[in-house]
Amino acid sequence: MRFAVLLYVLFGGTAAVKRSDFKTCAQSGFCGRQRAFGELATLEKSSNNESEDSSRYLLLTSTLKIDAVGGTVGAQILDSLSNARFQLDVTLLRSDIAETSSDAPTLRTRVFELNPLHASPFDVANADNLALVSPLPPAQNFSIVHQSPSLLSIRLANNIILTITAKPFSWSIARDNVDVVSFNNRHFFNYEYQRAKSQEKSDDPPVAVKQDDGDESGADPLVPPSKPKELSEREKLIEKLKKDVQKDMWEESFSGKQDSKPRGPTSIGFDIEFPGFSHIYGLPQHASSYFLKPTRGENAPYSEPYRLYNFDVFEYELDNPMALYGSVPFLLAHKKSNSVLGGESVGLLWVNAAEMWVDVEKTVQGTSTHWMAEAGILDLLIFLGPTPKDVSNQMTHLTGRSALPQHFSIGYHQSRWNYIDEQDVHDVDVKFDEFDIPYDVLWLDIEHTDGKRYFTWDKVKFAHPKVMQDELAVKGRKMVSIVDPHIKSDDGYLVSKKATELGLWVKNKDGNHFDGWCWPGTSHWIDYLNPEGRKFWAEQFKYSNYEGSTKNLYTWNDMNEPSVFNGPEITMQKDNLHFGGYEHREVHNIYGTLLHRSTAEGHLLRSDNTDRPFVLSRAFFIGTQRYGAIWTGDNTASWDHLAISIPMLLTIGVSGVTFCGADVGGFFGNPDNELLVRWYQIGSLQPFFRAHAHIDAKRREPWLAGEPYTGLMRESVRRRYRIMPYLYTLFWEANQNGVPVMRPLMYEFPGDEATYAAEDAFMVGDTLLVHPVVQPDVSTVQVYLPPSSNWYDYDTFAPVKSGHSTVATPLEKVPIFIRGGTIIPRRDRIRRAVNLSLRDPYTFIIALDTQQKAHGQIYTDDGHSYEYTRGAYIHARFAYSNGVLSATTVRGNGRDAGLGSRVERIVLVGLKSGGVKSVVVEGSGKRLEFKSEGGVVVVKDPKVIVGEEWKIVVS
Amino acid sequence: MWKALLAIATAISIGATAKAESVPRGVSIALASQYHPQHNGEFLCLDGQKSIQYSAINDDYCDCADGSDEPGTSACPTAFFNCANVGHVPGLLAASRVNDGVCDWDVCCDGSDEFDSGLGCTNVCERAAELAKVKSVKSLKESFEGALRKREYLVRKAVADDDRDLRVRELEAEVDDFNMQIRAWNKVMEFLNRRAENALRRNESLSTERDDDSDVKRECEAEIIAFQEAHETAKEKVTSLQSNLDSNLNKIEEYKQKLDFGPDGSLGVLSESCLEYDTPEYTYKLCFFSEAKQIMKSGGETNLGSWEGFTGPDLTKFSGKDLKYTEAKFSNGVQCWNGPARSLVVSLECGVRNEIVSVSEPAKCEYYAWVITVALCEIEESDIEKLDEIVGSREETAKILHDEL
Repeated sequence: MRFAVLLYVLFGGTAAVKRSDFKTCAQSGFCGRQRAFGELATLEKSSNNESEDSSRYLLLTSTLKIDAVGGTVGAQILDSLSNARFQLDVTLLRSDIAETSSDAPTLRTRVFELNPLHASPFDVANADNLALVSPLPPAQNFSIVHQSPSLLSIRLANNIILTITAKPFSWSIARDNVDVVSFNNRHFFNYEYQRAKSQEKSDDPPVAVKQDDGDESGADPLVPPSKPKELSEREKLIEKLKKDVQKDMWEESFSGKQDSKPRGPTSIGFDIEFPGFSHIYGLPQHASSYFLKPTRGENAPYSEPYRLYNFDVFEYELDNPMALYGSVPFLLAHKKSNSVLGGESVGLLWVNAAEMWVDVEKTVQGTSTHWMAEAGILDLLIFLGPTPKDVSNQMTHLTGRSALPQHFSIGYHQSRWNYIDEQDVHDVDVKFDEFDIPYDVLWLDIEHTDGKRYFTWDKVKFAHPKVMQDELAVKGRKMVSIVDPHIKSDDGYLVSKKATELGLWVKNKDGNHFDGWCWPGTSHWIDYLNPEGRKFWAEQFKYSNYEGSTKNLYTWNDMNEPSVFNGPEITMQKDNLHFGGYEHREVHNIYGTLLHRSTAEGHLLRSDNTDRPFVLSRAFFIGTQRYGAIWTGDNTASWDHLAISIPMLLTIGVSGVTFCGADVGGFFGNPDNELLVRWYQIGSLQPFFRAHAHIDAKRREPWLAGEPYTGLMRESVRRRYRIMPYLYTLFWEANQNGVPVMRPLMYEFPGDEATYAAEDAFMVGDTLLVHPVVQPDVSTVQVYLPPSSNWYDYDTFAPVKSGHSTVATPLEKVPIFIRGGTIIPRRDRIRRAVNLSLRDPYTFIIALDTQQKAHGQIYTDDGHSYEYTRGAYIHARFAYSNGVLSATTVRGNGRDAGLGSRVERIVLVGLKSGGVKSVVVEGSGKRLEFKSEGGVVVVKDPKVIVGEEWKIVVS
Repeated sequence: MWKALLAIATAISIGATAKAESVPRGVSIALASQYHPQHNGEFLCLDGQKSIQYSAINDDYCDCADGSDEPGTSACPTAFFNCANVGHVPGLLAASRVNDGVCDWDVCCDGSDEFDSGLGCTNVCERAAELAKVKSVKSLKESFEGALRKREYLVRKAVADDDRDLRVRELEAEVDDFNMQIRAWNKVMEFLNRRAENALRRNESLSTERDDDSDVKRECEAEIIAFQEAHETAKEKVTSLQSNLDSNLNKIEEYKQKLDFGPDGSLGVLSESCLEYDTPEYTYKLCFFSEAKQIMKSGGETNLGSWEGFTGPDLTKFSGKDLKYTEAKFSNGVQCWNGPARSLVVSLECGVRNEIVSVSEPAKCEYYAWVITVALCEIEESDIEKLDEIVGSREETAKILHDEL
């Protein structure tokens, strides 16, 4: 630990985040340039009174190639100032996927430079199936609505029309004749073509700004007026901005670290407007609100754009747009509408892995955004909804569905930096059983290794790793060990030696092996852009390579932004080189996810594709959901960190990565008992549920707090284990249609404006509304239950009035409400681990709506293998109406695989008037015992089987 | 004795077999009598709150709030499953562990807890009984040996205490003597003072009168000096006596100072010498009633805390046991970088020696040591009887314990 201590002294200390470690927009060359470009364009547009356009980017209509049947449009775009040419490819991708409310295709527009001077930029979508699925869905044909030299209108769907304008190049999409999204309406489009350094001085200005006097003589605007005269404020501003758009083009430095930028400026900027849209969401990862706050315009809460560049941020600050560990350049826009749905959404994804900044501005017209990335190409996907769920579905159709997790991995995880030795592991395991608290996975942090050499064990403290794992496995439990990407530079360490021999390391700008500092001291990083690098990494997980590992050992990838203690902004140099000759600046945001991916591939490899991987990653990107879970990184044991876990996870979830969580209890610091209890109450209802603590923090396993706290933590864990069949079904849904497990209220109530900015409550699936306590010492919370549904208290089944109300919250109370009209499958028997409960009978909670109806579904399989792909699963729908509960449309042959448990209890909630006289299983005519009390009827052991069709008649 | 018990056990198991038809699965012998249908064919939940069909017992559905209707299934969260463990002692297993796919041999050595999971847990009771026998013989032997050593210590301590008391009495006698001498010398000083004052006055009167008194005056002045010198000597004597007296009082206080060695004083055994424990990097040195240290093998040492006292819980009210002396704490050691002041908690239990079994650092700068000590070994007649039962006779017990000595 001494080395780590030294590192802390050097790089962190105990204070909160060091803002000076990270760039502002102005300090990140291209962001400063692109922002200045946007300001210039705005000034210019206002001076032109919009009567005439002067954008430099023109679509050359002579190059237009329209293939209406093939669903594509191609054309060249000319930068009229530099004469650089770009290719535009528009594709309509079919999204005829089940369960969406629309057949609107996804629009893809790609713009890239033709014949770039230095090198083809990195294309994260096309290169080896990195960010998008392969193959992509087929293209969809379209019809031309209108075509002229300046305009092309095509019909994407019944009510949706795309209009591409030639001069300046821009496009917009209208739904029901109302614009919903437009590109380059503000003329922020600025694609820095590749150029030679020598010609830079005589280079054209990036934008032509006309002078106030309306001089249109065509004089070079860069040449100052011949007679120096007094400059107006506006002119001074323009002079300054004109300098700013040329700043830092060929090299820049930050905190004494140089970026050589051999390829010069390569950044891309553009504006996207959402006319009429009041709310936008997404752009993870930031410690900020769910509803994105403006960064520009009057009274904007933030002055910096949202930054997306994966970083290891020590003790991150809340409520600001600084970049964190993961990035998904995705945005969801939503507004109230008069449609049947009451609200409508569009979504947008920029498939680009470079450093990115996004400005958000509230305008009179709606919401405007300014996107800026340092490299790559412009590859935009537009998802047309119209519901938020549709957008999730459409997006994950292209970025990949969330992998179906192993059942154990949605149980409770117990972690700490560090469980010190085998005895400690044994003691903690035994304590869980002594206190009868279920848990599924015990985690080992970096200290378990032999000197931070991953894939090894400390020879003294963990001398018998297999025996240790086997002991946990007897009770159905698993272990996770950490495997980080920094590989100690040490020829005596086989992984290091082999990777050196095979030349798999990331290289520095001079082409030599890059080395930097991390936990083990001087380290190298595998280049996961290299397919051989990924293959090598995956092979390290084979039992023969990872000595001491067993099939019950899974993996945690930390520090994969990547974290480099002595690098610029604690990460890699941007001019480092990757496979294919790409610079690190082009690939940075996908680096960690490629590690995540190859670890998951390693798990598949070691099990011969029979065991579903479980890998937790800290960094994430587009498509992460295909490989495993993520968590929100190194949070702090404080109430505000607990509160912000909700908007942070909602944002990450709607961006496609649904298997996410925050460290329960907070990583840094020591939570008091009240905070710890509240954190368990909330964490147990979030998708990934892991308690974790820093090495400097006191021990805080649930039994240490004593009563009543221990009992309350136990109850929270058990509450989760009871709804495990429901949670597993939700994860399956995410796997089917991309809708997150933990949902913002507006996903379920898109027409209810009161939910649009809600982030103090969330939905678990479509059924449970959770409005947790995130403050100390509060005896009540103000709850909003959307009035379009009726609601019941989760604990008492008592009906609760919808709308705004006050709910009492003594420490034992977690305000959870059941939405009327739903059926929740539970398993009320508590076992030591999830896998020990898979044969147990079900309890069904049937919460009736005002029409005395309810419906629900269940998905189940063996919880660990891929047998479900061969039909070994059960998917059943249930409906209650007119006094009949029926199990219908059963799919899968899981019954044959022994998956069909019986239903031992049915709880009917919200039954109106007239007592129940009998409950009979149709067919057998068996009369069931029941107990009726205040609108709640508990039916004893109908013995019907989940996986068979049956009917139960209540009369 | 052993044979008699065996006979009883056999009788019980025969009885159990005979009643097997009517006693539901998972019911302990103690409760067996309560599991029979009432005259109306119903079963009254053991908490008396509800009456259910007798046939609903063990129907894998929880009817009784106290779980008493499901002693043999996992249906009730609060129920317990009794496994007969024939050949060993019966076990009570939480119902949540029945038929969960894990053979809970530590409680149900007969494997009966997994009767319906298809797991086929084998019956390991014979081996379990054997192991339990070996273990309890070993543990009793250790307690016995530890208790003997404790007795030896207490004898040693009594002798030392006697010596100490004797010494205290000697010191106290000396104090009395010193006090007496001081009082005497104080009187002498008073006397000398008076004489010196008289001489002074006389001297003054002489000097104001005639010159031929000069001889007398000289005599008088010599007298004054003599008195003053004598007084000075007396004063030195008193100072020296006072210092001896103080030193004795300190010594007495030191001897009489009572460290908390427990009700019978046996924990004083830990004050006889410091205990040490070696790891590859460090030697931990625990000096009870003083301080704890971590000594680096490469040189240098860190204070882990000063003696705070025994800190175990007094559970007299709950379990009849005062566990105060099963835990001790050293606190306020060297401040940790980015952490608390170091501290060390010791957990103490009976053993044949005074020895550190292990030292760890479960949280940063919070150390934990497991120490065995003879001071906590008790051997009661009932323990001996238990051993008699296990090994068969008192003669065997005597032999075993004798071998140990």
